[in-house]
Amino acid sequence: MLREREVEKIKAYIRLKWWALLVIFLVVVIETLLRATGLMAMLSTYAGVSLAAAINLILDIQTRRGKYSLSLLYLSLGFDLLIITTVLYFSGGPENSWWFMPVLVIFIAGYIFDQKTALAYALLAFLALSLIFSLEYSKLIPHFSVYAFPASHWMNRVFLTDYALGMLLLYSMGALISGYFNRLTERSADQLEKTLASTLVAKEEAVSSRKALMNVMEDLNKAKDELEIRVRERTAELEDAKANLEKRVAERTADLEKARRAVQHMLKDLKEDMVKLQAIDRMKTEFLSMVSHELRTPLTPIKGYLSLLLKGKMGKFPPKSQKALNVLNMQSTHLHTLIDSMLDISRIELGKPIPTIKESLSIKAIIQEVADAMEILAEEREHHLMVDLSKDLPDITGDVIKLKRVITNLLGNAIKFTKKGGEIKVRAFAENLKIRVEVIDNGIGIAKENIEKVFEKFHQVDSSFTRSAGGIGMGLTLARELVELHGGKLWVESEGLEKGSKFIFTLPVKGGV
Amino acid sequence: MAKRVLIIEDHPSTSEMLTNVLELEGIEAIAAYDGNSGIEKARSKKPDLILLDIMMPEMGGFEVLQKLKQDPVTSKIPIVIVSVRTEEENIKKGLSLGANEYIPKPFDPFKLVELVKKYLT
Repeated sequence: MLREREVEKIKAYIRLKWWALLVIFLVVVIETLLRATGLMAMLSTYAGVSLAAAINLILDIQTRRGKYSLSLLYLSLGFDLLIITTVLYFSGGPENSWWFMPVLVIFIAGYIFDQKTALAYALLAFLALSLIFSLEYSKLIPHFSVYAFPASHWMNRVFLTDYALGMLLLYSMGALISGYFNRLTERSADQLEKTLASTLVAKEEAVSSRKALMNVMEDLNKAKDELEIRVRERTAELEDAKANLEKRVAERTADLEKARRAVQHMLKDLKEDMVKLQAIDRMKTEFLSMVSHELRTPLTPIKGYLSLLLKGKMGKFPPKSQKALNVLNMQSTHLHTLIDSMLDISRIELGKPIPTIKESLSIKAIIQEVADAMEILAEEREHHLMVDLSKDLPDITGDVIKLKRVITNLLGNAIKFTKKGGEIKVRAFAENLKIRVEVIDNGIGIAKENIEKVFEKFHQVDSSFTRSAGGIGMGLTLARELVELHGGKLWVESEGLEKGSKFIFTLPVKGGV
Repeated sequence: MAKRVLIIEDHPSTSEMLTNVLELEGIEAIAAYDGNSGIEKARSKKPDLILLDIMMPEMGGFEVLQKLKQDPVTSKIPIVIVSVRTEEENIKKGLSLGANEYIPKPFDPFKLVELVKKYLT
C-alpha cells in the first residue's frame, strides 16, 4: 500500500505534467506558427507530447480509479526521459542547449521516490545523452540541425565530452538535491505526522476529557435539578408542616385558654366557698359564744334558787324532795360546765384568751372531789372505780374549776367508753417536779390511727356510740387546752381497739417549771 | 339602820332571786329593771351598794356605770358588776370605769352576799 503522502505526490506529478505538457504544446504550436523550427523537431515534439499525454492519461485514469501503480510511474518517468531525449535529438541534438531538461524528471523522481532512484534516472538520462552524442559524432545516425550551426561548432570531441559531463554533473546534482529535499520533507513530514499523531492523541484526549467533563457537568446539572426538585418538595412539606403546627398551636392555645378560664372560675368559686365557709365557721363560733352567754342568764336564778333551797333558807323539804334538789343541783352544775366549755371552745376558735384564776390548790383534793362526785355515775354502769393518790402530792398553782373540768372530762369518758362492769383507775403521783395524773380504763380503747384525732374538735370515736352516750365531742380538745394553760401536757396511750385507754396529764408543781 | 342595795338587772327572776338572798341577810333590796330607772333610783334612794348587770336593753351597764361615777351624788357608791360576760376585756373595762368587783354569772348567791357585806361594813 502506498502511503497517503506518496499518493498525494503522484497526483501532484500528474497535475504538474499536464501543465508542463500544455506549456510545451503551446510553445511548440507558437514555434510552428512562427516557423521557427524544423519539421522533424516539430513532429517529434508533437509526437512526444502526445505520447507523454497518453501515458499521463493512463496514469491519471488509473490513479483516479484508486489503482496506484509505482511501476507505471517508473515507466512514465522513464518515458519522459526517452521522449525528452528523442525530441532533443530531433531538435538539433548537441546543437540544442535544452539538454538540462531531464533534470526536471530527475528532480521529480528524487522528490517522489528517493535519492537513489533519482541517481538511477540521472544515470539513465546521461546514458541516453551519451548514446545520442556518440552516435551523432560517429555519424551512425543522422543529424537534424535546427539552429543551423556549422558542424565544426559541435562536432568536437572535447565539447561533446564536456557537455555530456556537465549534464551528468547537473543531473547528479539534481538527483542529490531532490533526494536531499525528499529526505528533508520526509523527515519534516514524519515529524509533522508524529506531531500530528501526538496532536491527534492530545486532541482525542482533550476531546475525551472534554466529554468526561461534559458528562460530569451533565451529572452535576442532573444532580442540581434533582436537588432543586427535592428542595422544592421539602420546602412545600415544611410549609405544610408549619401551617399544620401553627394550626395545632392555635388550637392548643385556645384549649389552654379555655382550661385556664375554667380553672380560674373554679378557683374563684373555691375562694368564694372558702370565704363563705370561713364566714359560716365564724358565725358558728360567734353563735356558740352568744348561746353560752344567753344560757347563763336563765341559769343564774336557777342555780341561785337551788342554793337557797339546798341551804334550807326557804323551808324544809321532805327527804325525797331533798334528793330531787340534789339531782337538780348536780345537773345544773353539769349544765354550767357544758356552757363554760362551749364558751372556752369558742374562745379557742376566736383566738381569745381563756380567763383563768391562779391560786394555790391541792390537786389531791380536786381529784378526790371529782371522783366522789362521779362515783354515782360509775356505780350506775357497775364499774369498779379505784382512786390511788400518792400521799405526798405537792400543791400546784392553777384554776380549780378548770382543773376539775379536765378530770371530770377524763373520768366521764372512762365511765362512758367502758362496757358495764369495767375497771377504772385514777392515779396521781409526783415525778420530776411534776404531778402526773393517769386515768386508766379497760374500755373500748382507741385505734392507733385515731390516737391524735381524739383531741380534734367535735371528734367522736364512733358516731353511733355518740348518740347513746351523749357529748358534743369537744371535751378532750378543751381538756388539753386547759392543761396546757397550766403549763402541762395531756396525751393518751392505747394498745388499740378493745384494749383500754390511758389518759395522762402532767402539771408543774408550785414553783416548778 | 338597815343597809340598802340597789339591783339594776333587766332579768326579773335573777333580780328576785338576789332580793331573796339579800333579805335573808337583813339587807334591804331595791330593784330597777333598766338603766335609766337604775340611775334615778341610785340618786333618789341613796343605796349603800349597787349590783349592776351589763347586758341590758336601751342603756347598757357600762353606760350606767359611767353616769353613776360622773354624778357626784352617786359617785361614791360601791358597785359590783354581775354579768354573763366573762371576757377579760369586759372585766378590765368594768374595773377601769370604777366598779369595785366583777362577778360572772351564774354565781353562788351566798358567796356574793359575803362579798356585798364586805362593802357594807
